[in-house]
Amino acid sequence: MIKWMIGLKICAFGLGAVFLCLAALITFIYLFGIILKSIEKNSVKKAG
Amino acid sequence: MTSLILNTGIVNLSLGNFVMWLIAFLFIYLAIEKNYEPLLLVPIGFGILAVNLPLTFLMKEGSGLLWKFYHYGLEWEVIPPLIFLGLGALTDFGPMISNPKTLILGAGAQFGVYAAFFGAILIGFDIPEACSIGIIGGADGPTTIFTTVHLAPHLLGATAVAAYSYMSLVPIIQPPIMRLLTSKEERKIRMKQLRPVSKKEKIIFPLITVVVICLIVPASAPLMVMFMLGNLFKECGVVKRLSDTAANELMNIVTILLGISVGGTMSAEHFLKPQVIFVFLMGLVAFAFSTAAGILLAKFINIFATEKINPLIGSAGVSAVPMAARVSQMEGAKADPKNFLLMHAMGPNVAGVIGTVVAAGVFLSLGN
Repeated sequence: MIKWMIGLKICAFGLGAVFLCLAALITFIYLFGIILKSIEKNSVKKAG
Repeated sequence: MTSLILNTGIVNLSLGNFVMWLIAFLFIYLAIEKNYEPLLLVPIGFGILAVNLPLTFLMKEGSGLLWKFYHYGLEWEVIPPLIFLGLGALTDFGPMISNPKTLILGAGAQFGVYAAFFGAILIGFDIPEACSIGIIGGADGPTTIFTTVHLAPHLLGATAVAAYSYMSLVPIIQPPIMRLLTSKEERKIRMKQLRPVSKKEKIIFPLITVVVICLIVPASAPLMVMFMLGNLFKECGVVKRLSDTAANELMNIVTILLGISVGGTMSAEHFLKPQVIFVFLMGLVAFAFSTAAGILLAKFINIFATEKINPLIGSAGVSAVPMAARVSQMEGAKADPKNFLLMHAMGPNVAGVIGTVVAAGVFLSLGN
């Protein structure tokens, strides 16, 4: 029983960590994309 | 004279040695004739043959040659991170950055890891052993080895060989599951062409990833740091020599040491046990579940998404780069010859590598 409880804990933490990490990366990729676009827009405006 | 005869290997041969020789020859045959992971199966096969020659003491603690490779290479955590350095230098994260939601498919494919983990507990393995068996489902050889050396070193030969065997069997294991879980219409789904990814994005990605993942799961740092360093070498464009060395010469050297060290652990007395059969069985369960979970998650995302994902790319989340992505492409092309899924499948494929490293980090933190 104890083994199963530890197993459940590892599974919950493991899947949670995997999804959290990858969700965080998705967020950062989108955020960085937005920042990069706005920088490029500003530089085009300045050049124009 | 009698003493001389008694000190030869011939009189000390056991039936187990002969069985292991057969396994060694089988690996070498599969590598040479069938081209199954030859870069690993040749040194592993040769290592098995060598370690099962009686009285050679190649794995004798402290003095055996193969023991030194094993101890300083694997137990000291040197070889798997160096392989990850090379993998990083070979990996293009562009398709994943271009379509970030495919990252989730890499996470979905980790369900198989936990299916096999619970399966192993059910059979009677203890928690550290179950962790080492479960991680086979990630289809990532170096990560499997890294986890097993820490948690269940006595299973190293079995888990490593299972991981590499199933990786080479991706084109055989995955297609039936893919066809079973998808309709022909779903397999025909065409995905929007990926946008080009700028150099800036590619350079910042490894930096962000290493910070995010190592903050959340610090135990994954040895693999993740080297993976992202290798990728930064590749993408920054100013250290071509380092990038080339990591991806070629260094990778080849550590592959030799890895193969022969793993083979060295497979002596008859360590390998010929019933539990090895269960390791292989659970490895297959892990692999099949990972494939199925990736596909089902892609189908689940399609319920909500406006731009549909071809569910075939979900199976590529099992790592096994780039073989799993190629299988997605091949299966997609069978339904629609003009459908090109390869680059779309590379997103979940490399995300799967990251996901498996994170799962391994959690096993290392909690599995002891």
